[in-house]
Amino acid sequence: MSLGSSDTVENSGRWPEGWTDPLPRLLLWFSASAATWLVVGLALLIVAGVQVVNPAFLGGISFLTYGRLVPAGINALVYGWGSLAAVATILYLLSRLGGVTMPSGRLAYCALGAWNLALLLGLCAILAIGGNGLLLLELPPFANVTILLAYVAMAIWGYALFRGRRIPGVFASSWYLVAALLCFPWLVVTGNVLLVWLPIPGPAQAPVAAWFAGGMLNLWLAPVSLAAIFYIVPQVLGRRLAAYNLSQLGFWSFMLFAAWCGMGRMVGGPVPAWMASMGFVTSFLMMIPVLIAGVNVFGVLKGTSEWTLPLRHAAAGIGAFAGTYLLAAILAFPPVAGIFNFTDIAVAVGLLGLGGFVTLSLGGLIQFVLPQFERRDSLAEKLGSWHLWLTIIGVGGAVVCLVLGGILQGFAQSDPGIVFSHSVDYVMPFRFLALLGLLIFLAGAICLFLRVHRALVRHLITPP
Amino acid sequence: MSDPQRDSTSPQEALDLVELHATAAREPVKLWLLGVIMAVMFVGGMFLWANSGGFSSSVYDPARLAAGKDNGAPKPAPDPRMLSRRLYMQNCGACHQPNGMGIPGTYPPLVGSEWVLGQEWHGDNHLVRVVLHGLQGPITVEGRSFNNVMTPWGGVLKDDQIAAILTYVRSEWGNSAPPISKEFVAQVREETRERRAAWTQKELQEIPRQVSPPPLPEPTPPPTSSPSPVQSPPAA
Repeated sequence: MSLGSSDTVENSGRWPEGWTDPLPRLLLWFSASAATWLVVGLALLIVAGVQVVNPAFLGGISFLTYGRLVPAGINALVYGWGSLAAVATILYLLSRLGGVTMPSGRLAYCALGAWNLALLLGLCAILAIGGNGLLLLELPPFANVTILLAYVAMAIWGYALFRGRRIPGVFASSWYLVAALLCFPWLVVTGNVLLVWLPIPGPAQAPVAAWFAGGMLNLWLAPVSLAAIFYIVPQVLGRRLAAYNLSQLGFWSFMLFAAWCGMGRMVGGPVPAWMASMGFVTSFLMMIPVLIAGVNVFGVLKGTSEWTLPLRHAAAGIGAFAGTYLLAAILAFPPVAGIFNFTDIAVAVGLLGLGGFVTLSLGGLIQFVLPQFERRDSLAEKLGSWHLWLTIIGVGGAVVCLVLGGILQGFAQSDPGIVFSHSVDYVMPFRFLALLGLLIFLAGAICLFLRVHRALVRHLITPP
Repeated sequence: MSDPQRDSTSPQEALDLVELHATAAREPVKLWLLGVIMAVMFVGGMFLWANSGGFSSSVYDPARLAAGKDNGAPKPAPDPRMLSRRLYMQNCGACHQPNGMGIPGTYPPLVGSEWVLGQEWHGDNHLVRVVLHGLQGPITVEGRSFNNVMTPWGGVLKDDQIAAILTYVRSEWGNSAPPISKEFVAQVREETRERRAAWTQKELQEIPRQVSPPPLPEPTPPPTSSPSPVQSPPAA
């Protein structure tokens, strides 16, 4: 199996006669799109972040106002970076874990093109006319429908890969992949129908919106990211996960509690008591899957010396996973939520989940597959390594700053002697530092972008 | 550096994985982990049992419900000093600064200012006039001269608010001067009903000095000696 050789040679004899494996190439194209959206989304959010620190920045330009940049940036990160990387991960890993591949990637390429185009037009629509104020539902209907159809076209392949698996047994990664495969359409259809197309009565909208926005991370991106980690670690080390017999409990507890823990944002809100209590309790019970996943991964990593780049990504990813859900559980604890629910700590949870956990895990899988398109060159490795460290430093620094600022902000907000606008002033230095963290994160994203696109260009100019 | 050969699972390697996982069932369960999991579930379950309101759609936040139940007891009055401080921060702090020091050369300080404390020729009536109608032209505060404009507040703030702010600035940051009553503010407002323009130091100096009578004891709110409990933050 020589490096840089074509897919055909590499896969000869492994797949049914006459098949070539389109999946590494598919993953490369998906990663190229996803990494582009990561850079675009972060750039939009950073411009918005500059406006927080200096409100006059780009003041007179209507389509670059804060209220449009933030939804555009978040949608680019979730639907562009996270979801495209997740779809590619699902197809790639289900193929690898099942020992089968797709005969052709044509449908998936068409779907990718449609998805990118819909997202691009959708983001332009948000910037041109503004969003609807519903987190992650701001894209116009045509974009949501196109994305959903493109997803279905690819999910059919995902199902076929799972159904046609030739390797007996289903591994922990596959459980999470199949669960996520089912959750994305559930979330998108429910969210759009109940909140945008046929809005339900007002009081019920808030819990649905909290469930939807939480679910996009907890039920869609998080399971795929966990699957990537659970795939990378045993593959690199050639050992299975530690405490594997508990991982089934880990999976079911994760899926059960993750579906509810978005409701943790409703603690103290105008919802029946049981909803808020479920939100906190499930956020707290997320400690169970976090603990099991931590033991699963770190039990294998303990004492290892093979610290390859994907392995470092997986280790950092599982750390960010634990940090995200720990912080979310603390924030949902009713006495804490009463003070800090509307502070920058809530932003920190989202950043750690999306920027830390999802980006590191899915980025790790992309970098795990990329070397087969690169000759062993040091620049590619350096770019990958920079992506890892800049992401860890940038996201970690920004999260710490936002949490510290959020603590100050929370106490200031609850002090009747302090005017609300002053409670915001106290956070400014921390927001400025968090902005610097985001800039470092952007630099890391650009490294990933460059690495993926270098591999893509090399792949395109190398004749098969 | 990742090894690409490890990446593509050949059927043989995958079978090795299957073999590897076959041993998982024989692995002993980590008892400490099970113990922790059960403890977490127990705590979570107890919390849910105590706070779910029987999963009824008409039971809301128990803490809020309890607060609404005992309607008989009067709500604790907000600390008047807190409210005064808030009024000061909202209306005055931008120029005179939250610490009352002003900005040298631009906005005069309130800390130790003879205008605020009613020393020398300054009386409480002058202070109230300044707040009601503003001040302009050259003035001297603590031996330093300023030449700026203070906007009138008589149309924005009510008598009791002006009294609260003035009482606050006279007793904060080390200042200690007797309070200004809202009746006194009302009296000065009545005396200067015709006044439109901002005052000047020269005009004020010609008005004889008056001192605010001590405020009448308020009948309703309880004495502020006991600190009022911290207010719960507003809900969503």
